[in-house]
Amino acid sequence: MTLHEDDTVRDALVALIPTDLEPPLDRIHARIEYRRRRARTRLAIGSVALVALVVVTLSTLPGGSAHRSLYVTNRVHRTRHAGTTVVPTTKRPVTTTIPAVAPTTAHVVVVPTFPTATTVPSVAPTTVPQFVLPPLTSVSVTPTTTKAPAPTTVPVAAYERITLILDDSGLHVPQQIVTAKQVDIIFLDQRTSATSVPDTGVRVTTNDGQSGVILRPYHDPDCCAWFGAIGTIMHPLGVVNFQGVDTATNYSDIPNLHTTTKFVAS
Amino acid sequence: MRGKRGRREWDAFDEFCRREYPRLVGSIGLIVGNIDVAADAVSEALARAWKRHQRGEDPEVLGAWIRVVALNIARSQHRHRLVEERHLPRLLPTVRANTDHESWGLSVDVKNALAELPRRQREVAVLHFILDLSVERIGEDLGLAPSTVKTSLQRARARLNTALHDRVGEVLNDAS
Repeated sequence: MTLHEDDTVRDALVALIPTDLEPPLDRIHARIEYRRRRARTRLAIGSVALVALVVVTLSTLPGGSAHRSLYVTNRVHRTRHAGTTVVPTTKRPVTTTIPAVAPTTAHVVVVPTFPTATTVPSVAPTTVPQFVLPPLTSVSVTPTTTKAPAPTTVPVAAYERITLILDDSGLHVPQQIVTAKQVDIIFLDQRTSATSVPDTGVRVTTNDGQSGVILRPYHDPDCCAWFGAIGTIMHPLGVVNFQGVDTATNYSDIPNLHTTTKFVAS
Repeated sequence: MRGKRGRREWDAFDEFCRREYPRLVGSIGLIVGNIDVAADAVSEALARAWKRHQRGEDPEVLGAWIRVVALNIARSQHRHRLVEERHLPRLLPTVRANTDHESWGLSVDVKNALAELPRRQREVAVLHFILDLSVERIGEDLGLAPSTVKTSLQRARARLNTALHDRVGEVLNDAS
């Protein structure tokens, strides 16, 4: 290989580089601010009394952020907690049992919905898929700081605050969500939520006429990273199994449901 | 509100971004074959670099750090995008995935020559020829032994040169 040939290759490659690229400074600044806020949130969340962060991964699309984050989460837990029960699969829902490493102040439930014939209809993104999320009735905490062998089940009514995070919601907006009490609902989606959440015509109604549900479509393109933060929060706080997963049941008669909230697809 | 010192830090950082961004996006875009993924990865890496910049880290060290972080992010995103594209037609037949080089407007010949290289050779070639990194530096960035880098570089160079042999004059004319 001669020096001339080397220069030829170099010139040919350098010619491929666009010279008119401008850095998106506003966007970079926004990301910096976002990272700063996220760091503060991580600190603050641990001091709240009894909080349930319910992360429902709606991504049925392999490669989506929710799908991805599950594997990240599983990997973290597997490496950092000996004895952690992790059942990764792409065929059926995953149950992740994360031992609490400190007095638990917040609970996180992961309810993945992986591709199955019933949960992943082959529809265009503008069509609302027809499936019902499992109800939020209770969470079970598996402590490892004590010698208690059995998980402790806590009804969600005991929580002071519940945040339901619908990850990758843009692609699959649930037809119905039954909750035990008022919840903050955050839609996360990197690419499509900005349009698909309002456009799919999802409405929130409550059976008793109260409107306590806060809808917060989260359009930030960094939502994947935000969800990553949730995964990080999960790790030190410990937790949980989801109880009562049954997508075919009508849960309106569950005793500890104070308010039933429905998402009705128009 | 930022003070004067804060303002100066931001200005210096912006200047740093303007200087590094085009080459980083261009080179990482060539490695992963997708300019959007590269732009997003570099933006994220620059955002992560802010704290280091605040601590007064040496710009050269910081540049190397950003390069590695951006490359890792881009690789990861690209990997997941490939998975997504593989499965998307099955789930959403009406959606056509936007792939790779289409929006680049690159020379097809050069693009093909690069794309045909194995990943390691492509990375090494881009880092060496475009970012002017030494063999040792590339080895540190990619976690490879210098001898491995040399071998990869030599093979990439030979294959690129062969592939470009007939068209290189045209490419250079386009660039000038």
